[in-house]
Amino acid sequence: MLAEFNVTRVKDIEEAVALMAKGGHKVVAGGTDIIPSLRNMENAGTDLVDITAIPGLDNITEEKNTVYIGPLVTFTDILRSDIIRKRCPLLQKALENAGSVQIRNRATVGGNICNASPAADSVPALVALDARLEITGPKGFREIPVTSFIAGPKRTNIAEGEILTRIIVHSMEKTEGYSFLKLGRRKALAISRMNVAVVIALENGKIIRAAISPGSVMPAPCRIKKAEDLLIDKAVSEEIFDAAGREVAGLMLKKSGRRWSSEYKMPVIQAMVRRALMEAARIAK
Amino acid sequence: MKKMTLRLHINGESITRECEPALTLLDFIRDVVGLKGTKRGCEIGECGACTVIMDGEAVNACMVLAAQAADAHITTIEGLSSSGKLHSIQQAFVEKGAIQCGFCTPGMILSAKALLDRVSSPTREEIRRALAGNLCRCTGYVQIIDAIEHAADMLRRQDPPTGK
Repeated sequence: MLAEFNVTRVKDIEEAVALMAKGGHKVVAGGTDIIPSLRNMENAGTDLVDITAIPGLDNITEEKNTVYIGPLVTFTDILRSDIIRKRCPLLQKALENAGSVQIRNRATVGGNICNASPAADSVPALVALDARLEITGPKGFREIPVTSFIAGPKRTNIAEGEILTRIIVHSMEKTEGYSFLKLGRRKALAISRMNVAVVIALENGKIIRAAISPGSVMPAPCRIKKAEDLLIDKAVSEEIFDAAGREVAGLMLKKSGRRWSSEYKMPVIQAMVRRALMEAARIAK
Repeated sequence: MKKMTLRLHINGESITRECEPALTLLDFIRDVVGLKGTKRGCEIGECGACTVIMDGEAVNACMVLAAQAADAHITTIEGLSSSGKLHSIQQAFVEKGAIQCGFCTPGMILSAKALLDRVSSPTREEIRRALAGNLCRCTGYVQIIDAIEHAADMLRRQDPPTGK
């Protein structure tokens, strides 16, 4: 049993926004983060707005070079989607080892973003793909990059009354290579200790584009431009990828500060970035 | 707290009950409907003991609010046997020694059913992946995987898949 709360199963976005604007409510979608948290003193008794009955929020569609993902799309939906497989396979790679079958069947991409755990598995992939978010509130909707939305661990720039209504991603080029590596204490049901998403584009054997986005490394999710810049116009080599990894590790120390875990995390993120870039380079055409 | 009226389908039967809103589907199945086969394990989605099939997908009932299951079709372990005869998956678990204390068993069997409903000839690796969300402290898992392979074989012989 959970501490007493009310659940309102809303039928459309307007009803959700109106309730959220009143304050004191939290959204529940897949429930895989919020329901366990209701057992904590801090969240016990919070009234919930269940958005899972709102039609049209669980679609994956594409138009020209853009993929639109509804916030209620589950991890399993992503893994089964032909559109995602063809247009942003990096996202499938990112989610294939998240949680378990039971969790993936309920966990939503929107929830993963809005919960804003630094260990979220969808976020580095979405950041590497320069994803944008459509947020709907009482005054209408706005569109912002995912990196502007997530402000820090478990903190988003969502205003009262707003809900996430769409995730917008550019299709990947068919020639781009990609990789997602997840470090966890076991092969499943593991929160990422660190993870990293990378995308590489090659032309005549030289790297013309690189995106590197680690999770559980920086104060807020972002692409590591300094590491990416090291790779531009260079030929693929383990050395240059290792240099990029070193850059990410150094920046982690600088921005997140020295912690008890730094001595472990620094060489490990360096190796993860190197390995992810090597794998992406193998896939790239 | 104002009570809510919930209607859903469990094991093919339509069920309507009045209950508190602050319930998980697990609470509803065990405490309101009285079906005790679905187990309370960790209640935070990490053990799979509470696995049920909801609208064709395996889910942790501890992480679904009862209110979210309105009008859904739920299969619990009680829904597998019919007229006293065990389902092939249950039979396979018995035959292969895949049950020791039995606590993980309902969840394991339902995760297996969710897999076999979609994949008629899973590899051992696919079976492991499908069961990654179900923990067992007794068996060491090998007999469980053997049982699911055996069940897949029995089901294929009973109902040969067409096409691929």
